[in-house]
Amino acid sequence: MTEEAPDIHALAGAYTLDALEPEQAAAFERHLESCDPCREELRSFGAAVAAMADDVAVEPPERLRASVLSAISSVRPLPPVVPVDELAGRRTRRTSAWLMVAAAVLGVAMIGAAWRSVTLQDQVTQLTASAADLNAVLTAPDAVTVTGSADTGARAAVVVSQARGEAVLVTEGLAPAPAGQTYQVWYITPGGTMASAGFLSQGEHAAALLNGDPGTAAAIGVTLEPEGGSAQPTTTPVLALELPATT
Amino acid sequence: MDASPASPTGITPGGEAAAALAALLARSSRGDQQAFADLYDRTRARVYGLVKRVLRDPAQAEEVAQEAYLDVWRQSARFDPSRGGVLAWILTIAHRRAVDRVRSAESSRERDTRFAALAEVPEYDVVDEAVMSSLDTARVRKALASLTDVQREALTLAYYGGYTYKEVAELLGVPLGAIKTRMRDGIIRLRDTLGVEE
Repeated sequence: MTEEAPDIHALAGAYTLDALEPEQAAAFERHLESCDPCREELRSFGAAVAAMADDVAVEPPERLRASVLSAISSVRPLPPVVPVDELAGRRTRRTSAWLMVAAAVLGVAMIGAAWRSVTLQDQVTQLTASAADLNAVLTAPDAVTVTGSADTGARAAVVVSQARGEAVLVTEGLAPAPAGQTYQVWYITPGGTMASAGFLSQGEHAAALLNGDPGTAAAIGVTLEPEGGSAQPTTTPVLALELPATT
Repeated sequence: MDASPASPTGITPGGEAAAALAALLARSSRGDQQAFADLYDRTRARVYGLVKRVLRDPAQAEEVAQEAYLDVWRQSARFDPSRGGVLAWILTIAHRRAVDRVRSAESSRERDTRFAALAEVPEYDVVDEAVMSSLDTARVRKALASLTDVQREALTLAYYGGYTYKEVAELLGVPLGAIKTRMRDGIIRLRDTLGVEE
């Protein structure tokens, strides 16, 4: 992780106004986790800025009400965030299953409960991190795994270790990116801010250590972007996984 | 700040109104669509008005407002009261969506047009009296007027205009470091003048 800028406390105002760039907003959100004064300030700032909406309030067209109510009628609200303890058992089991997949990707043999490093397979030579780095996240005591699949049948798992502040994305069966394009990974905050988390290597199986701290990210998404990547996603995600909430 | 906070009438509802919104959101999180309809009615003018102010285009404003409400519905069980009130939370969701829309879709030329429009005499839209009294609007305007020119312009360009702080710094000819401070100081003053905490 990078060092925090010394004046990061001054960002609460610009953050409340949604005036920060995505990377800065993400950095400030990470900072918030360990800064009580900033959290308190943000709380009171939200109310003050919300009052500015009073001054521009205007009645929407009648039809908006009908379309909003029609839209929600076919969508189930997300479940609440449950304390981690209650889910620990389930998550552990799910993690184990995906560790097997990750092991296959990495060419890491699993003997009993122990991990032993073997050589990396050709298909993961593009990894942005060494097998040891990936392994450290996959086997972290607090590792939590979330899995999902895409319409195309591709499957993915993201393994998050909040203690390490790192996450690994493992994919299976993702079609090669079209020429001139690349798969880019994004952290999505609860507020919908997107921050690039790096690129996904190509191949039937792939695993990548994501850039940056998952922190309070609510989800990760994968989009196809022009080679070299984009500052913000320009296409609809081919994959999206909701992350477990941090406590 | 020596002035005592103004009485908490109306603006970003305190007390009973805030509690009512929280109760409606809690019922929504359990799938109660009627409660959500009620929540919509109590917040629609602020949400739509804010989104429209940022986007300018009524058709896009409708789209974005609808997306925002769908988000509120989906996330309703994950609202965290320790971070602030329900109205502020809903407006944050709506504002971010509006800002994302202008930043992703916009060419620099359109931005110039938007700035020109913003610099014109502010439009005072018709406001539903059932949703808020003109007293509230007057209080907000008065509070905004109590800021320094740079503070006020920094806040309105960012919040109503959807500009990043770097763009605001450029537009106002103020150094980057200073603009962050102006924004923060401006909000502190606004908060203290309005006497809102949640």
